[in-house]
Amino acid sequence: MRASPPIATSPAGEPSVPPLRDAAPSQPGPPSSPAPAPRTPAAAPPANPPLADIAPGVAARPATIPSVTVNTAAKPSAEPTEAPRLSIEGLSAFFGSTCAVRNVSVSLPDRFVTAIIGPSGCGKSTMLRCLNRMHETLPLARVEGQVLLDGQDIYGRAVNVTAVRQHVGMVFQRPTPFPTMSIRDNVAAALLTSDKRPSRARTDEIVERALRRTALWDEVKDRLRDSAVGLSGGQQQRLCIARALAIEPEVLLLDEPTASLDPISTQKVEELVYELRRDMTVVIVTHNMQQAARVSDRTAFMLAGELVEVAPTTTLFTTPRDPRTEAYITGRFG
Amino acid sequence: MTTPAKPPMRWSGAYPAATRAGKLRRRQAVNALMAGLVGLAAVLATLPLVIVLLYLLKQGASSLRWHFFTNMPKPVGELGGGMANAIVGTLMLIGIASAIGLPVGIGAGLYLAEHRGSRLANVTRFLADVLNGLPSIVMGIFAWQILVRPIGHFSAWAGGVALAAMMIPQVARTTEEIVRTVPVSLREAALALGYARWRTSLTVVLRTATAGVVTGALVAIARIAGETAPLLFTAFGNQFWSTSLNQPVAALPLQIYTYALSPYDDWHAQAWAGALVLIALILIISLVARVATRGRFATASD
Repeated sequence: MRASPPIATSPAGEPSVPPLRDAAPSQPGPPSSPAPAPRTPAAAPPANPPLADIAPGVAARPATIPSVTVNTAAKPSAEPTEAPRLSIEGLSAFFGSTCAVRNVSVSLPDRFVTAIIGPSGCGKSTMLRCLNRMHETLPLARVEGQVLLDGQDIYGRAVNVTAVRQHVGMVFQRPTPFPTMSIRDNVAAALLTSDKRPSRARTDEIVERALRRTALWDEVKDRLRDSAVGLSGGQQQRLCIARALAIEPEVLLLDEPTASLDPISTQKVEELVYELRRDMTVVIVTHNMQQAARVSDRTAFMLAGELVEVAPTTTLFTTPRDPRTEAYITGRFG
Repeated sequence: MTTPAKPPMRWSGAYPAATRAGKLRRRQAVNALMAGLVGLAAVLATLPLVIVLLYLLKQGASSLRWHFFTNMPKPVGELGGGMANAIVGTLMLIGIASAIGLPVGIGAGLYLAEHRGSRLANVTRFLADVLNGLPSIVMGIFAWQILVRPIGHFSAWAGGVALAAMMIPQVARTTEEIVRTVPVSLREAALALGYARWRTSLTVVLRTATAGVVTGALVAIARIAGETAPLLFTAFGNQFWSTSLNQPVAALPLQIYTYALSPYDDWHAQAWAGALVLIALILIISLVARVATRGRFATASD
């Protein structure tokens, strides 16, 4: 299924962005199932080696994730050698003359969950919003630098903004179901924008699959025609994640997705995030360091618009290299 | 660790008990007085409407017979005259004005809300406010000058255009105000799904604001349905049956105006009945539009 057009017209036959994959393995497979083959075109060499300059010797993703018991076997255990899905190079973001993100360079490997932590106002949400060009929708907002999605700059000249956002999905802090649409139509909302609108039956399949992935299907299958506003906050947030997943993005950005949820709903969303890493690159901004420790493979610490440190989550939380990181995670400020 | 001594709290002994009770009584009295005044204002605001409705019912209902809706106007002294042509004419004029005024007005309002700070939006907003305050007779003369004089005769669509020109600024401003109440988070959610800006505006923002936009449109329709001045030199009025857009057409406000100025008692009675029908017509349009657009989830953003 190809739900969205490539980002730009490809120069010479080679697709500039790989087509969206068939999401057949949406159900958790047996633990012994092999990891899917890398889809990144080998022809495009990584513009910069993933994270080697920032955190040398990073190898193992955290062996144990506290309090989340989900299947983790299908995960490659080493730092990926393939090109990163997203690499951010010299990214700065401004509101007018105020600089909210200062010259950040970092690579986000495919099928890893990267958490961005930092005190309020440190620019982590702004940086996240730069990754699917949502930053520029705000008044006076401006971006410098490059964000490479599979080697292609999403801020490039020929790039179609709406296509970028179909490849890089986003979920916000507060649930944002469309109040005028039913539960089904909310999930199907993004499908309307694709070039080839799927048939009604196909749409129903996609909706069901997206709702099953977010563990919402059993809760709403009997009231798909009802208003989405009638759902609880946690259900609404999972509905928003399902809505973002329906068009099969390669990257999912989560901007404090559990900040307005109760602990049970939070746990459900965290389990979901943990599941999603099999299929996509996930970036999650969170205030909650325990949450970062629970759900992420890698953690980035930001302070006053700068990226201070990025490392495997266990490394960053146990042996941070930068004293500012240590001060933050031990609670001395922020 | 020593805590600094707290100043004594005012309610716990700074005043003698009698003074405290007196202050409380005074506050309660002021509160009751203000609540009463505001309630009185609310009653006074609805009073004119109630009086008008009662008076209309008293004066108009007596001459409201079935033939009033089916018959044409008859000469003075003949019984059984009606306003069938004026009722149809008013509906035609409302239809023309809405067909032009609602799309333009709602579109303009959406633009004003979505491109809030642009120069075109600021100029448009200012001009819409000026246009809103334009006396309706001026709009009638303007329509006569550009639509009636060059063509050489009065017509229904000249009247419709004049009414549409009155509708547009009002619909634009109310639409803008309603659309601005749609939360930014909804707009962002749609954009983040890869919606183009126009699609976000139409399918998410405007749809969420539907209930309010419809209310604004109804208020505008109700207002132009009763306008007389813009029709004097455009639709002109017609004593005969006509549904041609190219011919002068009767309208309830014009008919009421003519009959009310006449010296005949039975025409006066017909004018009262016409006024009652006009009010009822507006009420029915409002009800139908509300029911039709209510939909299942048309509750505004919550």
